[in-house]
Amino acid sequence: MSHPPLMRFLGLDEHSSDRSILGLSPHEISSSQLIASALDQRLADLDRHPGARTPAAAAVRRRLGEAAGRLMASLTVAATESNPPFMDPAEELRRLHAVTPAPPPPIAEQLRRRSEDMDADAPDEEEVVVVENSEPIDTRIQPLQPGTGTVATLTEFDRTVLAILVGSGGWNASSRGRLIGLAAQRGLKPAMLMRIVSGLAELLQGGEFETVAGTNRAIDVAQLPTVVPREPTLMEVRMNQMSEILSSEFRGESSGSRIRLGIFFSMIAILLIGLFTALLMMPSPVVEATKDAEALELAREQLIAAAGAAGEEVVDPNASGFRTEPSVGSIDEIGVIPASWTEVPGFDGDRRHDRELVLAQDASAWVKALSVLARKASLPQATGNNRIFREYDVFLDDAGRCWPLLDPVLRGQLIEAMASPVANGVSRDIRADLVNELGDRLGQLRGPLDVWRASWVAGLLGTIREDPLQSEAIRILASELLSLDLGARRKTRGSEEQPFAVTTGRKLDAMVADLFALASNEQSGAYDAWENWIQAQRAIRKGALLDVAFLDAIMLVLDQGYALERPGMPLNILARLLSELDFSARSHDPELMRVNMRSWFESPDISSDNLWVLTSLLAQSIDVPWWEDRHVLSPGATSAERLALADLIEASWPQRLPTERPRGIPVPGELLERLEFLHARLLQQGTLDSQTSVLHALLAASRLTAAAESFEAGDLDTGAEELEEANILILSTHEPQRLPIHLGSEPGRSQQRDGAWSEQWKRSSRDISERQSLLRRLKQRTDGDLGPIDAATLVFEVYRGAPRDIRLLAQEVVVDTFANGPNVAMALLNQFESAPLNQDTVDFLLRFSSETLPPLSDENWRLASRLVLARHAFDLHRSSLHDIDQLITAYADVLRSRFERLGGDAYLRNSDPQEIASALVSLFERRAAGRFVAEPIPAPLEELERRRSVRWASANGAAQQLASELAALVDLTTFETGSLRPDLRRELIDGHADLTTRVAVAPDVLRQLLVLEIALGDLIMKRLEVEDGAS
Amino acid sequence: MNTTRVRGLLILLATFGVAMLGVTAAGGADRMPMEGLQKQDASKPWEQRLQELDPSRPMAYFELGEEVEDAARTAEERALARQLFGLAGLLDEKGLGSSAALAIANLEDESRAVSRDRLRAAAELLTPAGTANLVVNRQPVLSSKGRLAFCNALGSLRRGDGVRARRHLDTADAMLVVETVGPLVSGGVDGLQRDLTFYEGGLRPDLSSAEVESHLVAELIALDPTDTRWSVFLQSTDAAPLLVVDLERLDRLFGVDPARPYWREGRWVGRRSIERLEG
Repeated sequence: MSHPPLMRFLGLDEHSSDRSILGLSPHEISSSQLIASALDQRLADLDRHPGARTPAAAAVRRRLGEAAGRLMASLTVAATESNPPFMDPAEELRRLHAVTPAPPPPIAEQLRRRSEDMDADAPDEEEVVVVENSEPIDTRIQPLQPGTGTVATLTEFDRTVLAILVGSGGWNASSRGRLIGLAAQRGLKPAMLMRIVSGLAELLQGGEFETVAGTNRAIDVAQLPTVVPREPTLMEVRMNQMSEILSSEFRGESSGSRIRLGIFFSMIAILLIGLFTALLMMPSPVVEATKDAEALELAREQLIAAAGAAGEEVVDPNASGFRTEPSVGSIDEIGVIPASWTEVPGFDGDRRHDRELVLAQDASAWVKALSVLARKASLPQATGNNRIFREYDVFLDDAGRCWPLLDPVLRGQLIEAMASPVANGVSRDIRADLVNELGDRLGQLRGPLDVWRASWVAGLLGTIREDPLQSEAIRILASELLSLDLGARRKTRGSEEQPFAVTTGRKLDAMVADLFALASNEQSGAYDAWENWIQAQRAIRKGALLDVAFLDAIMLVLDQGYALERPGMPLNILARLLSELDFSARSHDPELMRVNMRSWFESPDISSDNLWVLTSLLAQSIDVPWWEDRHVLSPGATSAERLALADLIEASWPQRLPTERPRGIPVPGELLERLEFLHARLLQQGTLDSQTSVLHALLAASRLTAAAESFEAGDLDTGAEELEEANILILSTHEPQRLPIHLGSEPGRSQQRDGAWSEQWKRSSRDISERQSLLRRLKQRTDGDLGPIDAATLVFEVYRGAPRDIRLLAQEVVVDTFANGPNVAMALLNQFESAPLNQDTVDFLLRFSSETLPPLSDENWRLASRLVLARHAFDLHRSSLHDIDQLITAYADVLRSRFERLGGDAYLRNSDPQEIASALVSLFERRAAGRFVAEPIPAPLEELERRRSVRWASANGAAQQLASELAALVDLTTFETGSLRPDLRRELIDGHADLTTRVAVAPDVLRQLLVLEIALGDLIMKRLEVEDGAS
Repeated sequence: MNTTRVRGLLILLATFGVAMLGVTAAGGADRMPMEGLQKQDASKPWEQRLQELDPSRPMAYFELGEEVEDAARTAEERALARQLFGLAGLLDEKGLGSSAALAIANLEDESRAVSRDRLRAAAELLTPAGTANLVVNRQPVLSSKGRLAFCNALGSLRRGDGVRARRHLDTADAMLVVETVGPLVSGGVDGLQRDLTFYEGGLRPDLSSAEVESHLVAELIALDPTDTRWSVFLQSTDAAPLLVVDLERLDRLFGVDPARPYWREGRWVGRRSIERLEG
């Protein structure tokens, strides 16, 4: 069941034209350079093919050469027909003889030979043949005798014949065909034609001639086009001038030019000597590369020799595995060698969707706006109001561009909202027109985003079709539109699938053929379209249903008749689809996988070559540990051999052990889907450019981890609440508060002119009663603060006011009225150094701060008191730094909740997050100690404890201590997850190594915390699975 | 001379010249990485011993590294010592990894304090029964008098009394506090020094909100270095990341390529090169 060679190597039908074979477009203007370049490209592509050294490849090479030859030949004819300019016919003749690879004998000689050959058939002379021309043509040919002095003449016909001969490079298949055609046109017999040709031969040998009009005597000069010389361009003029100047210099006509020449060449010589010397001195990596190649070649030769000595067919290992004889044998034989490619097949399309993510942020607003639109559509004024349709179109397009990125709950709301105007339309026409708007968008794929747009519309139509709130007529209309696009409705596969998911899924499944066509034509955007397809499938399907979608797509890719072994988009698509499936015993439905695999082997529409590619990918490119080389099918295998291998594969398929834990803790699909969606959204968040934004994300990540832990513990309600909290955090940015949360009330803000009170105070001089009055008036103020000048004046009195009554009254004013005044707080701090060390000051500070201070006799009293004042001033100062503390406090609260829910009962001395994290670590250590693991990952528990100690010892401050403890939590969670999910061993090892690198290179401690917390949530999510994932 | 031939000659010369330059550049670009390419001078005294090194005897690398380190006078010689320690540590991670990490840490100067701390942490982790003897670069211990004096100086400055402020800084180790905590103040230590001489006689600086914030943070840190408030502490440490050692990438940490453990012709090469050179 092999493909024909042209199909196999070039993807072309055996009857393809020469242009197609060389990869030239039908309308491309050809030139010899273009043809040669196209040929070189094809040969290069062929050399890169895995079967480059096979006989079939050699046959293709021959076809390529023949096609190029034919195209080259047709070029000269075309050149003749288009009257290419050339100056000197003799020169042209000599040039043609010079460039042809196997120059034919001179035209004269050719013509002489042919005319000799044709002599036997030569008709009688003087035969006149009536032709289409009005004049009878006398075909008598007068042989020309050289040196006779007779001036022979050539007619127009003769000149045409000569032109054909000259343009074709002499007498050959091309010129012969042309001349016979010309003769037929003129009604000449071939024999007559040959006489004319022989006459021309004589002419060329003889020499002089001149034209005589009116006869077809083959002694005229060929009618050649004249050439009008064109004006040289400026560049050409300049180049010629420069060439003239340099020419005279190089001719050395003067002594000066000779000296200059001598210097010039001497410098070149010195430069070259220097370069050579430098090269000789340098170590040469090229030699190493060459010797690498030599070593490889030697190994290859030895392998070939060994194979030959064993009596087996010599197989060149570099040929990447093509054998002409099919072979399904044990690995001890030189059996089937899997296909290999210089680059691992696969692709990654655009997954970021930055613009679509921004668009998706408005989805909530769309839901509200659509409800308003639905109301408008229900009003009598809606009839004839085109604005409704225009608005609906905008929502339709916007939602179509981003629906897989939406939160599933929000997506459900949006679907209902989109259907609502249709259900509420005041008239049948409006309802039908809205539905037709949807139908108009079921069209072709013009770009990657059309995958989402078209499937979105299909899903909406499916929703409307099944919506009992819609009228019967509208439901029928929706059904008809879907049938036109997708064909008759099939039975729903998953009983739990919503109508939107069902129809969207059908549309996505139906797109596979078009998507494959994009890939087979190597169109740009094909990878992005496929990436969008995969993303959309993941958005609406889970578990076995999702696997079925991928399996069906693979089937289509395999049976399109496209030779997949060539490096290109189709191969990469196949590899990527395979990588989306789980071929282990832990797949959602192993039986489904086995059945599909067998059906591919049994299908006559799937070639053995393509199965060779499929099985090679599984053996070499995909992480399917149980798939070995003996499971690789030989290209060209027969049906019996295919079935035999299918049996072998089925027998080798891993079975789930009864003692193994099931795949994961079952969680309702909607909740798990939401958790995964939010986790993905968190990872997709753009640049976090401030400490508060990083901490905001950390808080969200912690909520997600808490949700995952709750689901694992079976507490779905708490998990759902945590998801809601995480959702709010992820979909919003942090609102800066800029004040400590414990402040309780807003700081004061002076509403009066700063300095006015100070002026009054100065004017009052030593009038005690006036000053008391001023202070009492201050007490009446409600704005809570003074300006900086007035604050400084007041605080001076607080510390050093005289007499004492004034000082005490000033202190009372500050405590009662300006305790929350930022300017007053700064003034208290600024002047504290000169505050007297007396009991009044102590009492004031105790009343003002309500904090415990050391006794006055303590040498650190001033330091401690100043610290209290500094903290107070800081708390009243508006700053984003307070948001950092707020976020950390919130994060600590989440950690504490997680600790308590996980059964932690240790007393937590304070709310420091690092202390809570340490308590969590102790809890996890106790849990992990109860597990026996033969090969623990990432390391045994003792080693993990040692690493924790080293990290803690190197931690400087609370933030780094928390990072140290979170790293320990990640280690322990990896350990535990590895014991629960041994099937994920490799993934966990690689993930842990990658995480360590990312933490090591993180630019600051906050990002380290974020990376660690996200990793923690991801590890726990690996222990969960969809509750009802089977089909 | 025919103009066509002149053009041809010029083109030929130009092409030849470009080709020579290209080959030269390619030869230079493909040279061994800098860490593998030791200058002839640095390795010359140990050339013979370097050539005798074999990855089956990692200890020889370490011993030679110690000799080179003892005699090292130039940066190239220290780089050679580092290379030898690194190879020893990678070739025998269990036996020599920890010692190699410590040896390389000792070769790091003050400007690479973070790298040095990371190497010491690696040394701890690589020790079979390591204890937490790690000492990480920490801030100097400052006296309470010096810390209070620094804060008093800031307060005096804000009042426009630069003279008084400068007198405060003559107290105890207040200047050391300036060097340690001063960078947190807006304008840094230099800005602070300038302001102390500029604002006096009651001329008060007009501080922006951010500048006031920086003063307050500096005072809080100076007055209580153990302040648990994250906002303050993150400012003081510039949110420096936790030292994490990636034991899977010791080659990156040590800065050597374990695939090239042989010394030949003035550079580190791999086994294949040895097999080709020595037949």
